[in-house]
Amino acid sequence: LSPAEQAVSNFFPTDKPESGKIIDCMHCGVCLTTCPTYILTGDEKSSPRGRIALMREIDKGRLTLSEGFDQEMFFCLGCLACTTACPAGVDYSHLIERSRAQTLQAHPGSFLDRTIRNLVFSCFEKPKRLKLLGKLFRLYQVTGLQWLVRMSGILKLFPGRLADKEAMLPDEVVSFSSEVIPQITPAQGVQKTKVGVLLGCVMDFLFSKENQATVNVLARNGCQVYAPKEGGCCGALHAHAGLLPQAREMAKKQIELYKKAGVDKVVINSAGCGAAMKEYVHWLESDPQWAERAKAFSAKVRDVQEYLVESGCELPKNVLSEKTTYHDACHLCHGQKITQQPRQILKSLAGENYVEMVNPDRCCGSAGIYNVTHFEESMKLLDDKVANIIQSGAKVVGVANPGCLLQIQYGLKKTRSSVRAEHPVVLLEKTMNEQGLFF
Amino acid sequence: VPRGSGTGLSGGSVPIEGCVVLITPKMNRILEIDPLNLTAMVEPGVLTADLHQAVEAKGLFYPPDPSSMKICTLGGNVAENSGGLRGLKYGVTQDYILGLEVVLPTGEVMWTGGKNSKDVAGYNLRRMFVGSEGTLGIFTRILVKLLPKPQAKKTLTAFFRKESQAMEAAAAIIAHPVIPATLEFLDQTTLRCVEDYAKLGLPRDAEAMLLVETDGHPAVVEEEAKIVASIFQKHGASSVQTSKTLEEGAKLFSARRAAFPALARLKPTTLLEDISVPRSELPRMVEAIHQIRDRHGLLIGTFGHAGDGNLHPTLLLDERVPEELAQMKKAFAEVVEAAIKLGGSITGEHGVGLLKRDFLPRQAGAAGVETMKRFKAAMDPNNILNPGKMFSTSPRCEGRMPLKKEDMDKVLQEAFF
Repeated sequence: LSPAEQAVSNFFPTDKPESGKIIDCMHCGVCLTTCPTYILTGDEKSSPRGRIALMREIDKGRLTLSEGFDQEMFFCLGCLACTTACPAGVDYSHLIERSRAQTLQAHPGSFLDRTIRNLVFSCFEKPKRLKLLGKLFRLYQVTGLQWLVRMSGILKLFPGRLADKEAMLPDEVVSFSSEVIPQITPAQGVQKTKVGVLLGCVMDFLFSKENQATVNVLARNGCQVYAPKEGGCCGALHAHAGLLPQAREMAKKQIELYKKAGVDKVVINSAGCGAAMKEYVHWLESDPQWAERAKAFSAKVRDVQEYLVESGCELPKNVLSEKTTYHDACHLCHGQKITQQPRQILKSLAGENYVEMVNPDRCCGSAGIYNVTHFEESMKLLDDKVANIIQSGAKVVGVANPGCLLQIQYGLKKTRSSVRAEHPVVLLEKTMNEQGLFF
Repeated sequence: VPRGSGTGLSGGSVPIEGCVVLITPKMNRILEIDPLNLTAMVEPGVLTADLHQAVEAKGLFYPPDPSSMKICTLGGNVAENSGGLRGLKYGVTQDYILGLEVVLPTGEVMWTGGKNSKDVAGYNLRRMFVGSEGTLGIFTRILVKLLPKPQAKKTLTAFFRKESQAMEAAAAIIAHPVIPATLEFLDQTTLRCVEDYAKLGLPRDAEAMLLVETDGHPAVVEEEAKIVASIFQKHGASSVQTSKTLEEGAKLFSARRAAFPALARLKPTTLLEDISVPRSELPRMVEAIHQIRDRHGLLIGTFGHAGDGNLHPTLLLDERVPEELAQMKKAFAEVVEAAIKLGGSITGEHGVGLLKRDFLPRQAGAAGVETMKRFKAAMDPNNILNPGKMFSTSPRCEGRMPLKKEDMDKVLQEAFF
């Protein structure tokens, strides 16, 4: 960037969207039909091309970092469908994350806003706080308070559609992954390799079943599995919210942790976390102390389904008797370009019973915390998704991301559908178990 | 300034200062598909691909297929008279517009044309609106002509060691005569970019690739494919592939589809040129582009519709480097100039817009541009519709004033004899 350009740009120098990446966009518009917010609104400013045009104008000093820009940046789901459609290979993920970081620098918000934001996000930075949160939630479930709250409908008295949001929480009593998964799980049979898994932040207590299945399947596949209790959050939520400095700190922690354990691969069962961890290389590229380490780390990261197919895991055949379909989590299909491996697994399990739904790669509206921040829009996307699932005639839908799982399970519950949403690894573990493949 | 999806490549929908943009994508209803008259009535915001889908579900066919069909609107197609890959056999948008409802710049709502296949009542106004680039009226309803959907199609690809062989083969196909739906050309720069990007296993030593798609009755398709394959072989093609299934056809098409994305990724700024020459001049046009490329040391990938002489030399650069920008402007003007010299056109299917308004007089001549301007002034006396497009706003220079007698004689000679 020349000094002259630096001078005119209305972006802050810290975490500035790179000008070269902004002008990569050639405004062809191919992204428009794949963008959920453009489909909802039909407004150019709510399309990827429109958002990049806004960035370009700010970068050229013709517009300022306004509140309208803030809204548009956070209206974006970050589903990255546009990056799959883009002929010019625009790095939209970089542009949106950096732009959000810019909005926070321009409008840090009131003292109260900042305090609440810091409090919420710091829970994810400190595993202990998160654990406490999980315990409180379990208490809320087992004491019958959840039942009482739902029966009484008391939340309907609160603004912000709190009752609907509460309904997204799971009904099954949660358990912590670290309570059921040992730090080291030995490989079954001959140990081929050593892998690390991430128990995660939300996944740790809302999805211990998925974590358990991941560890079991990996161990069955000849992996010694390292599951650090102190792992915690990968930083994806922070990065998506524009909190890049915090995200980088968390990335460093993860890199250090798995480095110390000396694992060959880091296997992730959450699409969002996997995509973020593959991005560490970019988050830390301008940090001379960490750039190399981050690069080496990101090269080791694999989605669990990607890993299983790549390592030649033997998949049971034709064992699911129910019709099964698959929902592409955005951060798998667009973020990591993984579409075939999960289908390979499900097609093997379901055989003839595997069916495709319409628009499997359209966002379900979960998008991290989008269903909390933009409830209305999120629900419109969810309704479409649920309609497509039901129309496919499937009884089981494979969903490989915690956010999507919560969202789609809620959507199915809302329509009183009997269709179940499951992580493909859970389905795989279950069938392996039935076939007596575990010792 | 009327605007559909804003996918145009000549700046027609870019507002200049003090303009209001009128966007049409929300007017997106297909109002009627009439299988008896083979027509469809649509609103201007309907996406071209959506119309394809809707009519093909009824066994019908709307041939124009601009590359941006997934997102471009029919209103924009009409305004720019868009072409596409199937232009060789089926023609372009103007050949499929039967009627238009237009809001005139003076406020009246006018209907022109209709479902009649024969209609010579008065001036052919609807033809004037097709390709008017949003300067004469706003379309609110569009009546298009449909065809029966071709029953079969086959795709063929061939690689040539020498570019001249490919050119001769393309000419031989037309001269045979076989008119395929599609006859596309990719030069070596484009081929190598595609291979680097998509890893399709294309031969890197080939100087050119041709792609043919023939469609229609299965027996005809079969026969045409055989003829084309033998012509390819006769002209020294290194490998000829013919698709057996639709999936195979799509696979063979992938190199052509990847051409633009592959080139666009190389450099931040991509300028997709669009010139058109008489088919017979195509080899000379391609040669001229290569010379311009080498002279300016620019990266230019050339591909396009060999069948109808419409080429898309794609200039790649970084707009932040002033020297590259200056080179690009020169090369751009030289490509356009070369096309004019060969009796071609400054734009085949992308329009004049802002990008080429300074070149229009070279193409249409002073009298031609004056006539166009008189049309515009008569239709839009207040100059409120898409001002600043198509016609140059910079002062016009018609040459040096003749001062000596010899100069004067020369001028008179040119003017009258």
